[in-house]
Amino acid sequence: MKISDAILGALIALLGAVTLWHVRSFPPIPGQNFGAALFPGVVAAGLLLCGLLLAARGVVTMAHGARAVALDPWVRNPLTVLRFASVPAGLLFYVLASGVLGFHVAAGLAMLAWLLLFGVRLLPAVAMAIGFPVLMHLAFYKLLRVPLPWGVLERIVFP
Amino acid sequence: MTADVLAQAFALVLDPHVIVVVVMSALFGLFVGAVPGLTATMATALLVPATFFMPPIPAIASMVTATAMAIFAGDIPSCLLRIPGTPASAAYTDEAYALTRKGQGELSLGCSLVFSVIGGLFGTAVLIAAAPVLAEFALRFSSFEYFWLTLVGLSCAVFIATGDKLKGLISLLIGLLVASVGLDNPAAYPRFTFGLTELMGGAELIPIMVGMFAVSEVMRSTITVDAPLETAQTSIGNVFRGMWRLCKRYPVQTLRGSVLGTAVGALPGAGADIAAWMSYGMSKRFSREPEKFGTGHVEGIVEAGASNNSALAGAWIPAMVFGIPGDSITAIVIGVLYMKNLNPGPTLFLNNAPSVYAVFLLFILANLLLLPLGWAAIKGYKQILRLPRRALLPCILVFCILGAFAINNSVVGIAMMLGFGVLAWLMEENGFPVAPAILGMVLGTLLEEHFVTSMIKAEGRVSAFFERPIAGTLGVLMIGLIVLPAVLRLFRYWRVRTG
Amino acid sequence: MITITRRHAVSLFAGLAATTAAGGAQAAWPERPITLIVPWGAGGGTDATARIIGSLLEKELKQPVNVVNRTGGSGVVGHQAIASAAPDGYTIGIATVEIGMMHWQGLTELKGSSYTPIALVNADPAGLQVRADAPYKTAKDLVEAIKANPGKLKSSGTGQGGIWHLAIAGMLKSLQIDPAASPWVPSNGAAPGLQDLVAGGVEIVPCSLPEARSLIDAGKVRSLAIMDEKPSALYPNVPTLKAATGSDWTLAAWRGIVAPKGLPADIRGRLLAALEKVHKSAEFNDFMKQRGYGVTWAPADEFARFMEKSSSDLGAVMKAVGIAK
Repeated sequence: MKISDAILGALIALLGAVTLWHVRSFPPIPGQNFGAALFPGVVAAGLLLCGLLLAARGVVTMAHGARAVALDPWVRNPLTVLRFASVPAGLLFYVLASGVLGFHVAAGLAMLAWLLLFGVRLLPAVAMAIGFPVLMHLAFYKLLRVPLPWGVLERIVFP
Repeated sequence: MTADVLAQAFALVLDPHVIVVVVMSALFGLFVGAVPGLTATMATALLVPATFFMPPIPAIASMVTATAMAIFAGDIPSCLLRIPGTPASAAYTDEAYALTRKGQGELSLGCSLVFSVIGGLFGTAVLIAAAPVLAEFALRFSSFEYFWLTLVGLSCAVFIATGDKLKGLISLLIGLLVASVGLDNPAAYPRFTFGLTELMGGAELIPIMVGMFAVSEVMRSTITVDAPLETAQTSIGNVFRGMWRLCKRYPVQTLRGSVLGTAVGALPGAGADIAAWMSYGMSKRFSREPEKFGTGHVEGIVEAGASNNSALAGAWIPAMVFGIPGDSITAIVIGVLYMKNLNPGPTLFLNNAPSVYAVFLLFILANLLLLPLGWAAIKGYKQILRLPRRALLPCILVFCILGAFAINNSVVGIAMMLGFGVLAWLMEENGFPVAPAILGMVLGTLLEEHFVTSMIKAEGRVSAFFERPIAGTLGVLMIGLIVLPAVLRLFRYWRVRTG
Repeated sequence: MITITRRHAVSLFAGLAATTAAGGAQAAWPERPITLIVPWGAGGGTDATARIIGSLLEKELKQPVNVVNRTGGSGVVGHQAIASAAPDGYTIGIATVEIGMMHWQGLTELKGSSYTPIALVNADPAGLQVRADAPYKTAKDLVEAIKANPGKLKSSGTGQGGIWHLAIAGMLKSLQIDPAASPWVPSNGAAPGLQDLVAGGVEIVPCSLPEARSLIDAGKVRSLAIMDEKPSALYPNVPTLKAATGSDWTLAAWRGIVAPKGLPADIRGRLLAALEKVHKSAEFNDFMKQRGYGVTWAPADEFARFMEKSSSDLGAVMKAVGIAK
C-alpha cells in the first residue's frame, strides 16, 4: 500500500503539532525553567517541520500525476488479503485470549489458523500446532523459567 | 605478572569442574542469544541463582562464557530470519539478511562469527594490558561528555539510513518520540502514558524491535507464501570459507571496530548495542564503497560484529577496577564478584592476582570456544530453513510472541510488538527505513538524560558543554566532522538548484 | 508437558470435577512454581536480595521460585504487578521503600496497605558521600559549605524525588536549610550518580554505603556520615549524622516480601515460617554480609505498621520539598 507523501507528510506534521500542544501541560523540574516538555517538544517540532517538507514534496509529485493511495495487485486476491490480515489478527487474538486460555491453547489455536491459511494440510497442521507450543514450553517454562500463563490448563495440570 | 601467578591462574581455569561449567554455559548462552527477544543480560540474570552455590572461578566462568556466546548467537536469527536475537545485532540486521537473500548466508554468518571472535580477543587484550589506566579515563566522563557521545551516535542515523534522507530523519524522530514515553525521564513526570500503568515503564525496546523487524517481515512474506523459495536461502555452506581473505581485505575496519567497541564498552552506561550502531555508521562513513551498504555488503558486518563483542570485554574494565558497571551485564557480574569475595577495586589486582588472571584466561577461552560452538550452532539453526515457508512463518510468530513476552512477562509487550510491527510494515511500504527509529529509541533516553542533567549542573549555561577538556574536544569534533559537512553539502545542493 | 499430561491423564476428569471446590487447592500449597516479582532491574541490590531469598525459599518450599523483573516507571510497574496478581500464594513480590513515596506524587493509588505484608528483611541507611579530594573533611564542613553557597553544591544518586533525593532534602530541612540549597541532578540510580561524582559533575551523593563501597575502597570517594542511629557494620568509622551535625534525621531504603492483598491466612503463615527460616539461615546472612547489606526483621503486622510509618515520614519531607501533590 503506497500512500502519497503529501498525505503521510500531513499526518506526520499533525502528530508533531498535537504533541507540541500536549507537552505544554508538562511541568518544569523544580528550580529549573525547563523540564519534561523540553525533549519531546524539540522532537515534535522536528516532526512538524519534516512532515511539512515531506508534504510539500508530495504535493509536487502529485501534481505530476502520482496517486493519493496506490494499492498493490495482491489486494485483489481475497486469500492473500486474508493471509496478510491473519498475522495482526492472530497476534491480537493471542494478546486478548492468552490470559484466559493460557499460552498453550492460545498459541496452539493461533498457529493452527495460520498453518491452515498458509496452505499446510490438516493433519500436519494439527500436529505442529500441538507439538511446537509443547516444545516452546519445555524451552521457555522449564529451562528459562519464563512464567507462561497456564490459563484453562491450570486446573488440569495442577488438580 | 610473574610466571607464578600465571601458573596459578592456569591451574584455576583448567580445573575439570570449570571446563564443564564453561561448556554448559556456552550452550546455554548460544540458546538464549539465538532466541529473539532474549538478551545477553537475561542470560546472565538467569545464571545468578546457579552461581550462589558455585566457587568463585566457575561462577565467573559461567557468566563470561554465556554472554560472549549470546551476543554472537544474536546474529544467527538476525541473518537467517531478520529477527535480531539481541539489540546488539539490530544495527546490521538488514545488511545480514540482505546477504542471505542474495544467497550468501554463509558469508554473513561466518563473518559475524570470525569477527566476533577477533573483536572479543582484542577487547580481552586491552582488558589485560590497560584496564587500570582506561578505567581512570572512563571515570572522567560526566554528563557533558556523554551528551556529545550520544549525539555522535545519533548522527550515525544519517549514515545508516539508505535511500530518502528526509524519510530517514522522520524515522529517527519517531524513535526519539517513542523513547520519551513513560516516567523514567529526568523530570520524573509520566509522559504519554494515556493513564496506563504499564506505559509508565516506557516503551520496552525488545518487543518493539522484534515487531519492527520480524513481524513486519512475516506480514510481507504472507503475500508470496505460495511462491517457491528463491529469495531466502535454503542451505548454508562452509561458513569459514573466504574469511582469511576478508581479514586481509578489511584490516582497518576490524581494528577500528574493535577499538571503538572496547572504548564504548568501557564507558559506564554505554554497551555493546550502542557500539554496534556507531561502528556500522562509521564503517559506511569511511568506506570506499558506501553505496553498497544496505544491499548485502560484508564490510559493515565485519566492523560492527567485531565491535559488539569487544564491547563485552571493555565493560569489565570499569567493573573490575572501580566496581562501576560498564553495561547491564557487568552490573550483575559486580554483585557476583562481591558475593564471591572478589571485591572489585584497584586492590583486586594486587590481592587476588591469580583470580584476576584466571578471569582474563576465561575470556580468551570463551572466545576461542566460540569458533567450534558457534559453527555448530549455525549448522543446527539452519535446519529450520529447510521447513517450507508456509510452516515456518507460524513458528516464527510464536517465537516472536515468546520473545516479546519474556522480557517483562507481560502481554503488553506482545501488544507493543504487534502495533510496531504494523507501523513498520507501513513505513517500509512507503520508503521509510526502520533502523533509524530503533537507533532513536536506543539513544533517545540517554540524550535527554545527559542534556538535562548537564543543563542543571551548568545552571543553564550552554558554554559549559565545551568547558571540560574531553567534552570540549568531543564537541568540536562533532561539529567539525558531522555538522559542518552536512551544512556545506546542503549549501552546495541549494546553489546547484538555484543556480 | 507431555509427561505431565500423561501422568495426569487419569486425574484429568477428576480434576475438572474438583474445580467447583475453590479452596481445595490451598491445602497442599505450594504444589507448583512460585513467581517472585522484583520491581527493579537485574543487577541492583533489590534484585540480588530477591534472588538469594528466592533460591533459599525454593529449598524450603520444595518448589521452584522464579524471580521475575518487572522494571520501569521508577518501580510503579512492578509494584502494580504484585498488587494485581491473584492472592493464591503463587505470586509474591519484593516491595521497596518507594511504595510509601509514589502515592504522594499521584503516580499510583498503591501504598503499603494494598498488600498482604509477609516480612521486612533488609534496610540500608543513607550515607553522605563526597569526592575523596573534596575540601570538606566532616559532614559539618559540608553543611556549612551548602549554607554559604546555596545552589552551588549539586547532589545526585536517584531520579527526581527518589529516595536519596529525599535523604539530603530531609537532612537539610532538619538543619533549617532550604532543601533547594543543594539542587538535585537526577540520575538513573546510585552507580551513575557516583560515576558523575568522581568525574566532577556533582559534589554530593547521599546513597547507601554498600552502593558506594567499591569507590570508597578504591580511594575515590569518602563517606562523611550515615543517616542512622548507629554506625554501620561495614564502615564503623563513619559517624552518624547526629554525632557529626546534631541532626536527628535518619532515613533508610528498605526491602520486604509482600503478597497480593487477601492472601489466605494459612498460606501466609506457611510463607512467613519459610521466610523466617531463610532469614535465619547462614547462607542468607553470609550473602548479605558479603554484599554489605543491612539485615533486619519485622514480620506481618509489625511490617504493616513499619510501612505505615515510613510512608507518613517520607510524605512529610516530600511536601516540604514540593514533590508531593
